Amino acid sequence: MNSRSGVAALALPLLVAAGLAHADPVTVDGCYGPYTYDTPPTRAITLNQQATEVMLALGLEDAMVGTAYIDVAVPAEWLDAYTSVPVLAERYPALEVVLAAEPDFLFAGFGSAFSEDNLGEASGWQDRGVGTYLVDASCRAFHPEDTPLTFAPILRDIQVVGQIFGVEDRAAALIAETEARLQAIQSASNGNGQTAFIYDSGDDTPFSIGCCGGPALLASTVGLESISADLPGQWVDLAWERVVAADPDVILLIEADWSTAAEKRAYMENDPVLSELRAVRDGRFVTVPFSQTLLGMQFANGVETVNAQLATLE
Amino acid sequence: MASRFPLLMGACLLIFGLAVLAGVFWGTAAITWPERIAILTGLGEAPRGLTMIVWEWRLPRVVAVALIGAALALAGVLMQTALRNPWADPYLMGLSSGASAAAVGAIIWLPASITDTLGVPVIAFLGAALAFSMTLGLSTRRGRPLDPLIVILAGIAVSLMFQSLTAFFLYLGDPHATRSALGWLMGTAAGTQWGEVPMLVVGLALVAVPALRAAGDLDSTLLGDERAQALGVRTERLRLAVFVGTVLLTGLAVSVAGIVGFVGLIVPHMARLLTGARHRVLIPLAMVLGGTILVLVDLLCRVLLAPEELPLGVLLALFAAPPFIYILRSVTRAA
Repeated sequence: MNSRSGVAALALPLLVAAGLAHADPVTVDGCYGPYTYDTPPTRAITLNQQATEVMLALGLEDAMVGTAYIDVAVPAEWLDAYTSVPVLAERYPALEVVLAAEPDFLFAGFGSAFSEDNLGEASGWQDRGVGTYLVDASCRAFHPEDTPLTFAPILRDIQVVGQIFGVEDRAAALIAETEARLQAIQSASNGNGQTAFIYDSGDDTPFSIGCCGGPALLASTVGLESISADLPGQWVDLAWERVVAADPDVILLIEADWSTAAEKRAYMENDPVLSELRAVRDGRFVTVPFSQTLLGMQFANGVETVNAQLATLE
Repeated sequence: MASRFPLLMGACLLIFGLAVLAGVFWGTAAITWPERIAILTGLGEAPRGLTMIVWEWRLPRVVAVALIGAALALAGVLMQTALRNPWADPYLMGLSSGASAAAVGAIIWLPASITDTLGVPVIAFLGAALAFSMTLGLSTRRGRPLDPLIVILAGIAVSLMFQSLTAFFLYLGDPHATRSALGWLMGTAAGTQWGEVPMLVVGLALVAVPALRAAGDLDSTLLGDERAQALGVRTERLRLAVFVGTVLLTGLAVSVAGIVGFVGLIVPHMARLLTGARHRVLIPLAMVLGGTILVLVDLLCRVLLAPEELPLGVLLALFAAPPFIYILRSVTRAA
């Protein structure tokens, strides 16, 4: 556990398994500074997919009064829980909608949630007595753009939210399970150091990954070597010439509604130059849904899916 | 002036040729000199991947960019003459805003099946034509001649309308899809293929040849409508022809590379400084200069941040500022 986890250690031994409660105030040192929860929030609002899914994975839907900004369908295992919570907006809700829901906790997946034109500064909410938390991997202060991400942020989110809501036991079980799944893949990865081009979207220039984002962590976990791992940042607008010069062993396509894997594969197969690449000729494509490349509850699924597909390529 | 022109034109063509070679030789993928020679001449061994990069990607891209630069410079020359306004430029007519609004709207709203069959270039072209007819509609009144100043004001109004429409589309659209829309707005020649070159060649020839033929009439237009008419120039017809030619050139350019600003405004002034305002020499020189500048800017976009690419708009705005200020000063001095 690193120093940032900052949850008041005093509170831990005193916790009683009496539903959602903590005996002593819990102080969380999140992306937007420390905030103390005297009692677990009961009127939480989540923004963005990853934040919503952390809550659902911990079975906290009864403490939620709204969700917003879901990119893709919530996985079946949490769907019933998800539908029991009102959806406030397709994207970020207007400030008045948020205020009308009288939240006591705002939990976001991306920093943009707390920008001036969306919900406004997190510190302002905390001054008004509304706790805020940002998914750890999205906190620029903790994870500069050019520092590679690790799994720790996924586990930290579960732990912190578990403590805020007084469900440490559930959190501990989920952390153990997630950690075990990720480690299992790491020790049995099928990438074997093959080079890979990670293709998110775009055709004039491919939108791909740099050194340090979620997809980069996914690729390295399954033992793939990204051909653009030397570039700074999480995402990059690559030149196609780099892809041809690297002639990668595998192409990892990111599946999304706004840019499907089939579209991208077809583009590469129809281009006179790209169609000559070894990986394109031999059909060495693997696919992962965009939502499984974000550092959240679905990340382990993404790692497992890609690793399983790599095995069939051999 | 005319005696100096062959030498000047020869020098510019030479620089243009070198720029094209540079555009083909340098890029993201590193190619050695022996490989470059082998790829271009077909003599000797060169890796297949690099050969394909040069012949299927770099060459069509450089050719297309040269044609777009020439087309926009020609459009600028014609507009500035027809409106007798040093600030006239195809973009002032609202063409680029109309084209980009249509393209962005199509990318974000229309199902992929429609955009694929119709093609975003065609949609952009229709947008340019719509904006053009709106500008003309706003600036004519039952047979009354087009007042150059009114045309520009109408163009600005139409531009503003389409720009706010584009902003609205981007705001409503899927945030993930807006990246590809931004490419249209900033201008980029990435992804250009041979298939896009023929229409540029035909379009440019369709406007350049008649323009050169009408060089004398265009010269007379600079003297003012009354004097030009006294010299036998049918000014209204000429002006209409210029507007139609401009929409064709701009529409083609936008459909291939998105919005490419400043070339149409700056390059004609550079050419005039070098060779004077006579269209028989001004038109060819402006076209060669436009092609050279855009080929070089595109090359810089590819190599500056390699292996990432920059949009054309970023560097063009940077390079356009000094000549822009120079023209501003000379225009205000002349006034």
